[in-house]
Amino acid sequence: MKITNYSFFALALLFFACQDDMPKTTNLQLEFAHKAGIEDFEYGRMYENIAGNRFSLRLWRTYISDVKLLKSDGEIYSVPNSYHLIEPQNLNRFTLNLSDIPTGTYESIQYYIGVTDEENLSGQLVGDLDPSNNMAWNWTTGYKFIRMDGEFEDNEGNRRGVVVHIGTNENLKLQSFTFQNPLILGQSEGHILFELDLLEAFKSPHTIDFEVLNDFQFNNEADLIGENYANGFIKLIK
Amino acid sequence: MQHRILPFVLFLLAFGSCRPSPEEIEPEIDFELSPPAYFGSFNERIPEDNPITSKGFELGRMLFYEKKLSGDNSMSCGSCHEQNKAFTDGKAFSTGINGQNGEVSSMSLVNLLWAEKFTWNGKVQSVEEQSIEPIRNPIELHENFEDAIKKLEEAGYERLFQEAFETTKITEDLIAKALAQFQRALISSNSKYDQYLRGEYEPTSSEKRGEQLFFTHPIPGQLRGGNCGDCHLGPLTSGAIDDFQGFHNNGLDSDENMDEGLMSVTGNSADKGRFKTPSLRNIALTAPYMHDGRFQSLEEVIEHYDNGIHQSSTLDILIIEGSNENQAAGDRPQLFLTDQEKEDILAFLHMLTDQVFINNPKFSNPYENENN
Repeated sequence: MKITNYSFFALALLFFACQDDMPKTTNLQLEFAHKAGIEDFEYGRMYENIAGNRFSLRLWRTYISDVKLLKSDGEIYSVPNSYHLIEPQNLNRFTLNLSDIPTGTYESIQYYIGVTDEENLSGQLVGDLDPSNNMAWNWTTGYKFIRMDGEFEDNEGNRRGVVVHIGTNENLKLQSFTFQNPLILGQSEGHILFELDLLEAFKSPHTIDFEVLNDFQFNNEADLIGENYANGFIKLIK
Repeated sequence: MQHRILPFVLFLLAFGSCRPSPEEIEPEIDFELSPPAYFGSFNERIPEDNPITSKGFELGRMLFYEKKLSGDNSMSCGSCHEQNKAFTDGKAFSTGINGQNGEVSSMSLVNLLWAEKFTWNGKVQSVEEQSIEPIRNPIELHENFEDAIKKLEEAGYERLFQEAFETTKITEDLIAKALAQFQRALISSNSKYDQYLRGEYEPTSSEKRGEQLFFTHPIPGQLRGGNCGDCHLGPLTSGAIDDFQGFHNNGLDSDENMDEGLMSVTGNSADKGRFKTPSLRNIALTAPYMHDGRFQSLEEVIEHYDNGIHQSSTLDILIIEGSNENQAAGDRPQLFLTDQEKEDILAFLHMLTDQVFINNPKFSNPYENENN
């Protein structure tokens, strides 16, 4: 009898051994769809910007950093070591899997386009920061926040570059998105879809005509793109 | 009796049930690589099925310099990759055992962990694969593996394979793995430039200006630059790692005269004339330059980028959009560097020479005194 009791107790323990209590944390997927206007973006395909230049890209990478989730009561969850390199990988998509997000009801999400100050020049390998990943200038200037390498054909039929390598602190742009319906993270995992629109980088407030400006690297003109990508370049879809 | 054990077993099960299953027994990883952090992450770049061990590295070194891997026992990997020339051979085209020339120049073997595509046209996808190809290639070492393995067995290599891979059965795959371990460990990080980055060396003003020029993309009227760092990235000074991003057409030839380059691998005409951007580590020791060894000196190379670019339909846009003067669209791209700026860039390139690397006894020919 005694033995049976112990067995029963042990069996019960075995049954619960792999079960956690109610989850305190869960996973959140941030998905980024790369677009050119309404079209799904593809490398090597021709697109037209608002100035009427026809162009294509061979590389498009975007750093985001310091992802934060905000609850209605003002509580904030900051993702640790939050430096993420976003690029079209799975067709035009990129999926960022965040784990250990506290469950709860969130009202908004925010992050920077770019690499925040504290790690940009540190040389530390944190998150997706890696000096060998084709986004670093050098250790004194930090990382490129957005990189687009492409080309266009000008009015005379010349092949010319579209070179967008934007970094430096003034181009670190905070993006805040309020969810239409609060995001409830509980039993099920969360999923948020964003869109990055290539054409927005050349649209507003500064209309960029590649015939006039087509090389944005560490120069005064780079900040024009920075102001453009702060404004409608990334949209929250759902 | 059985009943008394049952609860105990169940308790054990309960405690054990959440543990991961025991790992497979792996060889002891006792070989430490310690590249500087500014090279970037590297551990995940070592293939899981071929970690570097001290026995594997040592075997790889023996095989690298082993002439029995050639058809007539006259050459080894080290014949075209000499340590004192940063593992190149000083020739435009290397010559194989039959006296026949290859079509491209022997590449320096350095910091290979930060590369995923090998040879000038990118046709090889791993160091393991790259280690095998020249052995079999009829215009290089021209040996078949059946004979090579027989020779290695006769020379007593079985013991070394046992120590490195826990098997006395010598195979092509294990030869490739050992050679790859040796080559992945060929890390150069003790040049004057590294010493400067570590704060141990104060560069001359010319070296400092050269470094600045090297890494600066020129903006007419705003920034003077040599436009080198757009392709030769960061302290590694090598091409981008992912996909074929590190392959560029650097204006060597016009469309009509151009070698195929990457196009011979991808079949894409947009890739014609694109070649692997090599590391510039020890570049002062690895003349002649370019895939076909057409330039004899670094001065000639700098002249090429300054005012020798040939226009073509696949010329890299980072060269098209890189000048210190405002050029009319469609003009042949030129850098318009001053003589002083060229001298400064040259001074920086010389900073990349690593005496410790080319003299490191661990990388040297173990048969030096026997059969050379």
